[in-house]
Amino acid sequence: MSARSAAFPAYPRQQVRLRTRIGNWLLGTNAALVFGFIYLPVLILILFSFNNTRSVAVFTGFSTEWYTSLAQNEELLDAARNSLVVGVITTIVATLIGTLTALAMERYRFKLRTTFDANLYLPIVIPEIVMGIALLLFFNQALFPFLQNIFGIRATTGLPTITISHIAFDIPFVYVIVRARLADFDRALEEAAADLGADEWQTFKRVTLPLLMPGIIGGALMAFTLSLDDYLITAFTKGIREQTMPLYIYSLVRRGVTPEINALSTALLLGSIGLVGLSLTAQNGGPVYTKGMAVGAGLGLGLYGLFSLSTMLSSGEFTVGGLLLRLILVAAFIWVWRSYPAYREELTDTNRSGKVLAWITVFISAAAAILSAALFLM
Amino acid sequence: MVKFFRRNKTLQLFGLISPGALWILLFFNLPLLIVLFISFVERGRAGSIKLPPVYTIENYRQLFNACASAFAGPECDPFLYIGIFGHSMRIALVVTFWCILLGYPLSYFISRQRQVWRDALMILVIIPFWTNFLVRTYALKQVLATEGLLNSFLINLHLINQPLDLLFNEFAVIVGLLYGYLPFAILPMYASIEKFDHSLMEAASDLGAPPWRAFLRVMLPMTLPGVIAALVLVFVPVVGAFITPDIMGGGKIEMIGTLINRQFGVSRNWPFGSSMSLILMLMVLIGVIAYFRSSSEDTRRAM
Repeated sequence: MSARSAAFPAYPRQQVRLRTRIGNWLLGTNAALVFGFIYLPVLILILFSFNNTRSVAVFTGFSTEWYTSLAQNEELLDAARNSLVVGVITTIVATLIGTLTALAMERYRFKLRTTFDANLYLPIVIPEIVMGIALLLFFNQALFPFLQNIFGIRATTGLPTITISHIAFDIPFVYVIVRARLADFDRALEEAAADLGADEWQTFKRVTLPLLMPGIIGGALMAFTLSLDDYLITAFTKGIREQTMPLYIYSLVRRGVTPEINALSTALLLGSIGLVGLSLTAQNGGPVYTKGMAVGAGLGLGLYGLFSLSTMLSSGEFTVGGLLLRLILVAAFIWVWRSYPAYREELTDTNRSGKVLAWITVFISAAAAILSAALFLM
Repeated sequence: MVKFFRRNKTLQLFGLISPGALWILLFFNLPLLIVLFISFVERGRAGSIKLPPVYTIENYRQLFNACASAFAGPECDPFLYIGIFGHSMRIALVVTFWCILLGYPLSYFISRQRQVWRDALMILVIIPFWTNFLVRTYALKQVLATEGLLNSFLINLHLINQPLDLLFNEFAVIVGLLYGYLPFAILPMYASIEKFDHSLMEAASDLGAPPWRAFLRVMLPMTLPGVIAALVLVFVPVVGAFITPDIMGGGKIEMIGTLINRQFGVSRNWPFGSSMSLILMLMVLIGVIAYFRSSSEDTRRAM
């Protein structure tokens, strides 16, 4: 053995250095190529959404006409509304159920526990198209005939079936995220609360839930993003008339390449990056950020409520329902107004970059809230 | 009543778990069972199934012998469907190969940067995970289109006279899948390489190993779990992909995903679509389970 290693030629220093220099150069080039490959198409997509001609190859001048044409496209706005309704309901139900399931699986021991755990991972692992056709067959061959024969209800696919399916594939994701948070949970904190005389419910409400909140909100935003982005399962469970945003985009993309799709895609990119940014901040940061999201959302809804209330009053045409809705939004503004000092108080403890991040969080949430309110009330 | 609930652990568990269990059993497991059932019955005239159901294994036989179907023409190719399965697997292998070939050096490159750069570059790797897959595929389609940027760029450089047909062929599908799944490969390989102690390479080099030998004998074996994870994470979704072959292949490239989709669209053969879905699911599950088995063995050995 020693004879063999002695037989190795000693590499001259010069040669080794040259070799590593070429190696580094190759590594750097590869990195530049890969990042270029991943990001150039997206950057080009964004650039050409501002083009003033229909070309997606030659940039002739800046314009926002494709965005204005989006804002007037009724079909698109309908799809966006449907996506939001499905997304919000899915998020609420999936987050609730996913969190309860995570609590049950982490804190109780029972028969078939590992089997059920594996079963919960299954929807994440199997190809989406399989889940899509499974739901299609379930609704059309089992559930609808069953409802028809037993209760005499004629049901068809539509937004409700899409929502049910989205909840089914979102529960596992929320479950995984919340359970990861629960695994890091220090049970001693709950014992301390119990020692101080809190009963189980108080302990849960005052200790467990606040500590779990970042995981829950992270899971909720994840569920929302997945629901907003899903094409395949939605395509198999949709009805004849209603469509969602991805279904609409898909039909456009299959037809060809136009700057309208670029504008729409850019808007969606911004939206999902904002959402994921919020999700990651919620999971990794403290309650300052989750509260910031609530303040931001309330602020956005409230500002829009004030704005639309004033336009409604000045135009003079109003309905009781519309008025009530706007008053609820204004109530959100009053809530923000009153909880703002407490929030500022909390912010004083965080450092500078934390503060900046918190305000970005507030801003993004407010923008999202204003946009969604506008979509529904315009 | 409330007190009883608080004391009774079984009841608590039942309350917590039943919504999730019910939803998943009813809207995930039951649908899968229905797919299993439909894959074993004969198709009806209108496209759905014959009622009352007639049990058959024809739908599985048809997969291995396309001419077994009553609707087959005189010039049918018995290996049509097996060929498509094989083709999908070949495409998935090619995509996985390129993902690893490009992703491994990139992961190494990132792991050798300073902390700040490392974090920034990793964020760049993660962002595509969170952007709409459809939008990203469209971004690539627009670059490769006949009137797209790449063609007009090449024409302006006078490298070509006619625009190249970059879309709606196998090349486009492979590039599209590579574009979609490259980040999935980088993440696990980076996790593995980052944990690798680079002083081991110096040790190997001090003992006289040339760089390539040190890489093959020290670094590659120690980072292999990351490479295998990348292989599974890319191969599994790519083999059953639908969106990319549909958009980038323009209906000309058939993969398992598009084939299954067609059985529920124009071909209207739900039982056959069901049998193929189950085979696809089985393939994927075998891969994933094998991966989990081997990875846990690795960790056991490491301990």
